[in-house]
Amino acid sequence: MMTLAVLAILGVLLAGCSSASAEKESSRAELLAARRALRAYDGAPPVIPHGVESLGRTDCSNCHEPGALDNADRIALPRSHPAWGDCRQCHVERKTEKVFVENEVSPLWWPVRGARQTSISPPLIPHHIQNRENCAICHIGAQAPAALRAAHGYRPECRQCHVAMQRTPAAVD
Amino acid sequence: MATRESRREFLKRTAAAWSAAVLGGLSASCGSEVSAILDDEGVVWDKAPCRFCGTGCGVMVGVRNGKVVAVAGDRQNPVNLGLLCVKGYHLPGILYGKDRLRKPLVRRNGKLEEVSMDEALDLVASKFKQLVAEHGKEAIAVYGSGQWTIQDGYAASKWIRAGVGNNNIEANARLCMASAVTGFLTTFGKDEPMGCYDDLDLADVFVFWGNNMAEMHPVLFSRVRARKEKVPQVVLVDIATRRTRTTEGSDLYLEFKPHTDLVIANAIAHEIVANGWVDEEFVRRHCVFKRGEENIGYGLRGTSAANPMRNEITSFDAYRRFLEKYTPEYAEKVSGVPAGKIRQVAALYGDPNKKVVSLWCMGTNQHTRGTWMNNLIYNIHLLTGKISEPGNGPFSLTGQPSACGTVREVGTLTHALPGGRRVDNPEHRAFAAKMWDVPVESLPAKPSMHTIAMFRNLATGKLKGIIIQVTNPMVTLPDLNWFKKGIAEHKPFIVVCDAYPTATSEIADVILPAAMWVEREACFGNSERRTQQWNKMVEPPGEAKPDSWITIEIARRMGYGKLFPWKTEEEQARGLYEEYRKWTLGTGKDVASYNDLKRSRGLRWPVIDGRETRWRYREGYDPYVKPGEGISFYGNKKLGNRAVIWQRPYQPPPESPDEEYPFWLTTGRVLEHWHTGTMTRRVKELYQAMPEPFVEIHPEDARELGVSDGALVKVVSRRGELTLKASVRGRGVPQKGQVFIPFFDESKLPNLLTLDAHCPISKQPDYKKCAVRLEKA
Repeated sequence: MMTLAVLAILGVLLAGCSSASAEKESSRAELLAARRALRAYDGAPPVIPHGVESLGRTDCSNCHEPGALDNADRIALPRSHPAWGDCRQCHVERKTEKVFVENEVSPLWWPVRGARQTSISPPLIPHHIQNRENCAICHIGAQAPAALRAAHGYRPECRQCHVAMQRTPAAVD
Repeated sequence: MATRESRREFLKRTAAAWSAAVLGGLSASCGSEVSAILDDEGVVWDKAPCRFCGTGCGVMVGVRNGKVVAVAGDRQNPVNLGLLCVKGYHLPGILYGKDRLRKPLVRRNGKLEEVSMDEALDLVASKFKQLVAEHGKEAIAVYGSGQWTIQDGYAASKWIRAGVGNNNIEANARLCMASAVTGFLTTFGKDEPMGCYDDLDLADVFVFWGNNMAEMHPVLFSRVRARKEKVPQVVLVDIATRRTRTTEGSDLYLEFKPHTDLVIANAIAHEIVANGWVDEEFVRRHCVFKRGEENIGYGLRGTSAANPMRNEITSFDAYRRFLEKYTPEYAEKVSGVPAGKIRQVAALYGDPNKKVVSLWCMGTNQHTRGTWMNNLIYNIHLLTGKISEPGNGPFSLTGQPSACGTVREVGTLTHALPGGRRVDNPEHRAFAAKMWDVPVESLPAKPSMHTIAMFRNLATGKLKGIIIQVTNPMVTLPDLNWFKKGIAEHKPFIVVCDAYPTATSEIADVILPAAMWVEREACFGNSERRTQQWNKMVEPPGEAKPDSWITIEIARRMGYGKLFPWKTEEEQARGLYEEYRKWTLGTGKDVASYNDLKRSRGLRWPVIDGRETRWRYREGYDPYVKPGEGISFYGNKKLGNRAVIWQRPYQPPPESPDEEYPFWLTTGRVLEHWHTGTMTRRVKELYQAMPEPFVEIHPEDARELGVSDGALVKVVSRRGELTLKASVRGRGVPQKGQVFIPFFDESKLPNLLTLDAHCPISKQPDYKKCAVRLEKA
């Protein structure tokens, strides 16, 4: 009896979510496509999607420190890793769309969604976390895209419930 | 996949991940154990050093379906602790440029035709044999680079010396760090730094001598910045001719007129002596004073000069008299750096409570007085006793992944043999004969040609054939027009082994496709004496093969097969290394065993009983220093294990700006591209970030010329001309009267303009100084 009641409630909840989650799913796909366009592979530093030297924007921290540029219209993503000193030793501009020679590299893209044990268990982390140690940047708070934002809001220790999906060597993650 | 696995499997996997993390955290040397905990997305990870610069960052290479699909910084490698630069993060792309050379090519009637590897190797071997039969053993040569793996360099050296029987082997490292080598040898009697990267975490003061470390060694510069972040009173001093990202990150900037760093270094020594900051006890016990030949010329074609190695022992008094002239005021007059700033830097060096690390690379080495300039930096550290201890020391950086490991340690320069030995030393030759099992008479006793001489001989018809591996001299030689014309006229037989078509493969008669980086198993040695090994992870494309394999196959076909008993590539990688290692044991350059390298993130030599050495020449750190000695510069046995403080005067450069050619031209590199760009220009992200070279001009000079940022400017020297877009207030800003051009683009060659003057001791050309004029194009 009890079990049936729980299932019924769950059913209602899931049905109620379905259209919202479809929307979330499509925006997630767009988001990930846009994300890929800025990277050589999953784990590579993204290129800078805007002018830097040409615009005189030489201090990245003006916008990309947590809270630095955070208003309704424009939210700059804060960095997801510790400050390494010089942002532009890894993040470079894209000054042309041309290439010198075609390249046949086949990039690694991790699965777009973390697997779950059951429909209500916490999803596994589908990607490496090297240089993405700060989960909140993409998954918690106003700057996180809705499609990736955790439904449960802020909790202090993400990785007590979410564990890595890949068994990668410690040297990598 | 995880979605379908049972709870039990899931828990088992989570536990494995935990134990991997714990294991990894505990031990920095569990490299090959990683294969046991592979993930099940089909990606296999293994360690390798980065393919690019001499820093030697650890990279984890992700392979899926036989392709390199990703890299990550290796958190277990102490060099970089997981951080890479933009080039390192884009390593996968360097293997997959669409125009990779896959098949051997032979030029017939001016056209390149595909042939089989067998046919190409037969042709090369028979042509080399014919040239030797017709013109003698000296007719052929091999030219490689600091990107040669240890195995490649050792195979090439053994083939040319023990097989062909000449010393015609050189490497592009001659163009890059030869002055660092001669600097070390003349001061300490032994090559390579006494300290290591650990010093970057410990020093209070960092002095960059003509070194844009922020762009050229970015991961090490991050380590310096992290030190500053932790201890804000740490001071970074940039002594340079041009404002760069290193200047942006520094506290003090000393802008000097090109070539006058000699005066600044002597003025700093002057202040140290004048103010009583000398560590008298250290100098008395561990140093001698010398004066060298000073009429040494600049190595220009058709000139002669006295033997630059001639020298005599002097005294502290004589040195003091020599320094009298070099007051900060005199230095200001010559260099343009305010005397007060020179005093400020001297006081940092002189403060007994401050640990100081000096760093330099091409600005000091590519210098017609490069050896002297290296000596002068050592003088400062020797006078103050700030050397060979944690946080204190001079540190010479290198630009190629194995300039140290291969060119310097294996000895792929005409005079050198492994373990710091020399061909002109009879004992060393006897040892070589024994190691290689050849008659000692068959080993020539004289060094033959340094790089510039080798290519001068190629261009004048004296040298008949050459094999060039993993380097691009038709971009990197100075005064290129002269060499190109001569080579076109005399048509020597040229074989080029490379991964991509280059400006050099354009002049080749035979092109052999090379396996690169993790397409083969090998070792590199980085700037801090760390030897690192990696495994073959993917197959090379088409018929591409490792350079060492190609050398061995040519040697076999020439009748020297006995020298190379190893069959498979794997046996060759281990066999060449282990044989080379025997040369190093007992020399102070003892490299680690192959097994130790396989399971570690590299070890810094001398490695004794499997233990590495962080600081050489000091008791307690260096096993070669006997108990009770304290400090021993044991490279200088004949000088009682003392280091040399040299009197090296300022002398003007061979070509300075004048009315007709009023600007200095300095050439160099940028963050995004590595050397001649053959790899990095084929990576989308790197090419798009830096699609073309430019000429940096000081804003006032640009205004006078009437050009703004992006306008076309023709740069003209006595030797050639080149048109480029102007960069005004860009990433780097040269001083007034100076322009800067990077050399990564083979279609826009600043070496059409440069002069082939070089340091007469090291024979390393000066790419940082010649005179040009600018025209609006």
